[in-house]
Amino acid sequence: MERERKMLGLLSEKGRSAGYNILEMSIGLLLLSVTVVMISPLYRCLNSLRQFDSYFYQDEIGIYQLQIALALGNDIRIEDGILYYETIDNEMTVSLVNRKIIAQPGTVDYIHDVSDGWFEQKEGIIYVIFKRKQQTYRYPVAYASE
Amino acid sequence: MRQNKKGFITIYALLLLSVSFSICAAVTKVYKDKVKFIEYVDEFRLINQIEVLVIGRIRQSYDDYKTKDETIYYHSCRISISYDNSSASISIICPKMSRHRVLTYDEIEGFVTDYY
Repeated sequence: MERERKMLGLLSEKGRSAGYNILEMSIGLLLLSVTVVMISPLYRCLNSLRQFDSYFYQDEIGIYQLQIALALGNDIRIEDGILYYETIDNEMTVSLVNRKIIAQPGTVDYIHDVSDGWFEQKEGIIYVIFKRKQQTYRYPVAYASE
Repeated sequence: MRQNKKGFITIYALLLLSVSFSICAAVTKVYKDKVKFIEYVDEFRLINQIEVLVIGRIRQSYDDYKTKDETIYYHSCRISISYDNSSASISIICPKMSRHRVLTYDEIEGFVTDYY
């Protein structure tokens, strides 16, 4: 009988119990497809998070500090890409020194690890422009003095 | 329906289920963190811009001799400026963060003498 069943291509009871039934297989495939589908958005999320490099937040804070310093200062002007402004005590200079954009005297660091950095004025707005890792960043920092 | 000897839900199905849930939880967490971070940075930028503009407004008010307490609403933030002779108190309250500053202005010299 068993031999006949085998010849007819039917599995024995023993053989059948070793595998999965169609419902189990369907659930397994469904879970597998859900898993595969979830991997793509996870990768995209992680990748976009990675794009917020370590400098991102530091730059935000540095730009904010520079904006405040300039809002409090007087007579803001640019000469050869260097920014000058006055406080009640000093005439301050903001420029690129040792890969940092700093204000002197007093050496206040605003932006770190830049290969180049300068200021420019366009349509009454002063921008700081700096380069880091072949990328150029440009932020408005102040209104130009009239 | 015929039942498998190993039980309806096999260890492999459970394993896949747990992996799926883990990935689902990881995606949700990463996404939530990202949304939270972007919201925080957006509000940080907004409050910074407001602070810079408010400083300009106060200086202009002193220069024009038009110092008058005021409350302004900008986006979802409440900005209060109150003057006390040469000092102005700034209060910027946004949904997730707030900032309080005092600006002292020398009207004769036209300089900000203190800001904290």
